[in-house]
Amino acid sequence: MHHANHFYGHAHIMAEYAGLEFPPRIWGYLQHGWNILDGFAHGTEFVDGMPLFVWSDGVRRRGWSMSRRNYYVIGSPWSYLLKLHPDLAKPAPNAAGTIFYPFHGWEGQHVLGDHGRIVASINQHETGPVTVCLYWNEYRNPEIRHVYENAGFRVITHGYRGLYWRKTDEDFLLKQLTEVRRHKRVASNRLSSAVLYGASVGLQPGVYGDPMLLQNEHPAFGGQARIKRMWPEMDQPFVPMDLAKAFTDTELGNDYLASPEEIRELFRWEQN
Amino acid sequence: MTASETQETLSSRITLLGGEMLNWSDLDRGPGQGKGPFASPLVVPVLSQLLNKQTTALIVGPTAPWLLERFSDLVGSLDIVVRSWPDAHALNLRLNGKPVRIFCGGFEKFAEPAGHYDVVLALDGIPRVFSADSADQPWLDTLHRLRDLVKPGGRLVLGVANGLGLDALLDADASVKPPTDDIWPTSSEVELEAPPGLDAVRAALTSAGLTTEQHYAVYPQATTTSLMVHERVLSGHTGDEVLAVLASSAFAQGFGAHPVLTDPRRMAREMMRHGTGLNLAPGWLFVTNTGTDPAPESFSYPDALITDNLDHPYWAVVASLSRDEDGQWQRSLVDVGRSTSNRASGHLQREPARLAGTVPTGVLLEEQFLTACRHDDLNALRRLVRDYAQWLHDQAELKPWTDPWSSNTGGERLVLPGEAVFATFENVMYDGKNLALLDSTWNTTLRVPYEIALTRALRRFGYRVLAGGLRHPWPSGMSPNRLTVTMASMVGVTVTPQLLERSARLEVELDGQQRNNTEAGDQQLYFELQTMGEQPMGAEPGQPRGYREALATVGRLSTELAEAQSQIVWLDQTVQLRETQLRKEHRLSDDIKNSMSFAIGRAVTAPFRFVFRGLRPIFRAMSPGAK
Amino acid sequence: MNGMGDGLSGSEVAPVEQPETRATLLGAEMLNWSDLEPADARPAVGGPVALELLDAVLGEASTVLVAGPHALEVVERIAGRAASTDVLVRSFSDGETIAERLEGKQARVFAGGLDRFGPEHGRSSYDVVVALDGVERLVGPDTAGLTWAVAVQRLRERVAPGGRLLLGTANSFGLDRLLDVPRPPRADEWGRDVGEQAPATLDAVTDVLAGTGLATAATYSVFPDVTEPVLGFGGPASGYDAALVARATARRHAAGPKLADPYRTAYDAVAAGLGSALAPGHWFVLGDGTPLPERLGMTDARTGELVEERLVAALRADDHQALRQTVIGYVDWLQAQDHATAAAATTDNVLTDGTSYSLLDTGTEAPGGTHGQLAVRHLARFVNRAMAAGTRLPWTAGGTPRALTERLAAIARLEIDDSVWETADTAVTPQGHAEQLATIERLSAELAEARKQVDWFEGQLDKLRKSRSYRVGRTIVNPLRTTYSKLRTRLR
Repeated sequence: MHHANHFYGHAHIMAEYAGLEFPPRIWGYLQHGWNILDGFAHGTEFVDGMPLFVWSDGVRRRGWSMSRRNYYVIGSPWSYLLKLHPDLAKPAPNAAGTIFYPFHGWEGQHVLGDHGRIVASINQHETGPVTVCLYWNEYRNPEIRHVYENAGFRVITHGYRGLYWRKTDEDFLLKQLTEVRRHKRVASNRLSSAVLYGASVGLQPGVYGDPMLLQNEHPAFGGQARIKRMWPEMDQPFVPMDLAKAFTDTELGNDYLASPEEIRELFRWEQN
Repeated sequence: MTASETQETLSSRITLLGGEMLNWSDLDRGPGQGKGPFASPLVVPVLSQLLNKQTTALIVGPTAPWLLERFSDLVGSLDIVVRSWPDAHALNLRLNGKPVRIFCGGFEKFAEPAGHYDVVLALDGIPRVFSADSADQPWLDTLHRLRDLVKPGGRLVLGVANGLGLDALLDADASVKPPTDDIWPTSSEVELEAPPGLDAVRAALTSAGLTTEQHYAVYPQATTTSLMVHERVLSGHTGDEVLAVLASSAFAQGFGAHPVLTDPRRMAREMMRHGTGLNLAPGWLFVTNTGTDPAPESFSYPDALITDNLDHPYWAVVASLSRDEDGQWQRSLVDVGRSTSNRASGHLQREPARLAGTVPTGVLLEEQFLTACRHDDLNALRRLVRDYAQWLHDQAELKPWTDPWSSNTGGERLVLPGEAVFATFENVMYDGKNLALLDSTWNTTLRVPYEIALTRALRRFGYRVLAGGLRHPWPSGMSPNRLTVTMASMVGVTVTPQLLERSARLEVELDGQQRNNTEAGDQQLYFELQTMGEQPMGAEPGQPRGYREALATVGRLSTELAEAQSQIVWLDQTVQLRETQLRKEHRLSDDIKNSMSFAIGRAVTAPFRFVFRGLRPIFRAMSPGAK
Repeated sequence: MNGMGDGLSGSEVAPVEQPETRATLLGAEMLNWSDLEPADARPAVGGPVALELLDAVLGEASTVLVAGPHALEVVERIAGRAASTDVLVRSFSDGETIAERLEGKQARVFAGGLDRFGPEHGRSSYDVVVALDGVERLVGPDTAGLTWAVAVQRLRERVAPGGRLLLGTANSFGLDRLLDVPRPPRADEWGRDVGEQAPATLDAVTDVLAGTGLATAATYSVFPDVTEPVLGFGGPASGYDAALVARATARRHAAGPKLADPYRTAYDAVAAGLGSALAPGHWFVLGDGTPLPERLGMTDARTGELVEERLVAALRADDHQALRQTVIGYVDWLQAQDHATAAAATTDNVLTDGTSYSLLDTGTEAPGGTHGQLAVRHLARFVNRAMAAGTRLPWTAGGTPRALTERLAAIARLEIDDSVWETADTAVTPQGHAEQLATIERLSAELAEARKQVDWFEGQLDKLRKSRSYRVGRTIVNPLRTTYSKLRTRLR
């Protein structure tokens, strides 16, 4: 499943950082994506007393107020990836254009029309070449792909599935990094991990267009409206770079990165 | 709540500021879940004077809905800032039709212009105006912001909790239980709480350009207040008996059910007698103005305000007290809601009007008993019991009486008037000559014979002195029942087991009626009185009760925990090993996906989950090993 | 020494025959009693700070009255410096002891109640009147109704113009009240009227003292108790002062059950500015004269606060970042010091302002070990103290300091040598009752979690076992078996 991919990618990064060849089980739970609540999906069941490793202190505070305990803020795996590849942590010399991550809420009758609207909003704001990065399942849908290709955009996907899924899992974040840094801007119709990642390596972020709300987006999450209220400064097509940096530093936990020894102690990893 | 409902309510009077707490309610905290909202009826008489139909008011911090309703009725417009979304929604419903606007989120995002309000109320204080999403704001900065929101000539009413107040020193729960959900992690560099100590708080108010008009100390806790005493009374260090009694009973009510380290009534009493009532108060309430040309007004700010029965508001009475030049205290009733009306339930009645008048002089009878006990003064004890019994006896009349708990036909007995049944030691003042009820508002239609009432009063005292571990002249290992027998014998009353039993029933009747006990509650109280009455009680000298057990428990739990943790380590290693083996042989089936390594992977964030929920059929079709 | 009383003025009563005693008996003296060596009562006041204050006050003083129970060393110090000394005690045997000690000096001893110390006894005025024990113990049970204010006035009347009065008062709501388990009254607490005791608040006391007409030259809050204080200071307190008071209080309350942790309670009280309000007692110097030290028993105030306090503040706020930064800063500094400094640099002995560090006092013993080992040991000690004080902990900690120490050591990139745990891995047992209760709460919660984890793991093992049942294979079994037994022996 996709999230298992995600996990392997993250765990491998942490293992490499901690000086291990492969990641043993992590003693605890690792936050895998940018989260505006307690770090984990709504309704996640944890084993009591196991540590929760999250990206930022805000997540920890919210989680505490939701009766979760045993948080440890270590920053995001992406940040550790950047530490492992410092030469890649900035835009490439010939970086150009925008990479756009479309979000689409649900499957329904208006799928293609919605993607069409996204194309229109991209054209409204972007000059220069545009790369559109789709989720692998959308990517495999030729109709959706054509909407973007017909608009003259380069269409890619970060995650592959198939027979080799294990191997590519380990590198998918690295692949994302190499791809993203080829651009000058990163944008989406929603503020999300992908936008964060792009901004963290110096791309100018932008959020615009219809966020494509889900029908029953759970109010406990508050959804997109809540995000816009919390971080209004990030809800614009051309976010000033200093604001972007402050935001990504906080949300990716860049002040909280741990040493390799600490990671080994926290995750209960013996050096192998 | 569906999206459409949200839209509807959002369009009306609720403005979302950002940082709203969605899974949190300040109004709906259960017991043991942290403090509830500010809910004292005592502020109503004090603050109503400041509010009228021309007033534009702002109130921040968790405040009880009924209080908000009261304020909204008094003012021209009321803006309310809450941090909890469920609370905002609930308040919106409750305050339908009132001139309010509700703002929900972290207070730092509240953007109303400066100088906008006639009155700003922060009764709960500053710390709880912020949400878990708020960046940590220094208390002083927020104070300035609140001040800025006040119009020139307007007022800021601020509650400040005292970190080293008597409630904090006493409350085993606060220092003992793990921190509750509202004590989320903060920065240790930022001063989120008020500066420590009254002097520092006063200096802060002055430096913010605020002039203190009135200053009350509140007890027994900053959020649940049943006693407010004006600073002018406490700064004259007279160590007044009446103040000591008031404080003691406020703490008794507030801490009755809590585990505590030392007897709260004694500590409260001593705090007052030693003149430290102001500095050790659990909290303070300041009425301040912005210092520019205060208009001369004739508001009255009583020396003290008291209420009771915060847990059973049906019975509550609110009174204000003032002390005259001779040091005598006068009580008068204050009307908050229906607090001046007569109450009755079953055989129990309360007539608040009887509270009005001079507070009887003297020292609390219970205190005199305790002092005599402390000094091993059996003579004094004898005298006190005799005086008390005589006083009770003098009020009794010969009347026909049937035992309600037996089938015997009656005869005539000396029966007390209803109010004398409530003359237990902690409710009687004695100046050496005259005994008088401190609170004579209670009455009962039950017919209680003199001996039963006497036995009950003596046994209550017996419990107090023995269960409190207080010093007494009798042999150690006394039980409350035996103590009752001993004391009653000093006045020639023989206390039989039947008499003890009847007095227990009386206790249950009175207590049950007041607290609206269920039948099970009644039975439990009866059972406890009867069995614990027989228990020898005595603390070991030099140790708080339970000290040794606590030490032993700490040791035992540490060992058990260490064993469990070793077990976990072994299990963890074993599971890892087997998983590795099985993975190498591609033996992992779907069942195994629930193991730790994979389970972690499942804990994924919201956006992905939402995006893929609708696509699950595709997913399943695509994943290897599909069922 | 003269055994006879100094004349009886105009009395018709036949003179009472005075027994042969060294001291002059005044009447209302306590027989079968000693304040110098009490059986079940508070001892006489004394200690280094008393001597320090007296040295500063006595100066050129020639005539001194020592009123009330003062330790022999104090009395001797005074008699050694003053031109003439009169001593007033309530205990007969004490009077004899003192008289014997002061033989050969210009000294007189009076034994009896203050109310019997009439104009015919002693001098009409003295350069210095010393009553550091207060006035309550100037009378015995035979004297009733002598209020505190009147007693103070009696002493004040004996102060010569330009002289001084040293007066001590006990604070009935001081730190010891918050720490000590309430105990039955001692033999010297036979019960008095409220008026016979010192007024309860500092303000009330200063009001009465203002009425004496003598200016208050200094007020010292004394710690850790009124009998043998080791610290006295007047002004607002710093983190450094809080540390000194906390240490003294902890030492004083080291033995026996307490209601709350002595060190932590004392530190928090002083740091919150309540040092004066909660001091066990106060000493007043009334009357102008030679300049007086601002602080007794204490060196000059130093800036900064203890590393331990920064760590505790971080724990209380659950501020992980501050915790990490403080630990890293401290350990980095420690590793750059010489061995003796590093050995003495426990977290409660190092002052810091965030960037620079200094020792509070240099240690005497120097345990061996590398700097890394010393750092780990200091961290373990800190964790132990924090847990015993019931401080909020950010993570599951267990019953011993081990888990949290390992975490902090990892943060500081220190290797932990398991030999540390041989002596240090014992259950934390708080001295304060409040902290015991807190620890029980925490351990119970952690135990419940641990049990859930055990259940979950056992469930996982079950699933794994079941899945193997499909396979008939043998190869997997043996290697695993031997690995299990290796595992078992390796684990603690």
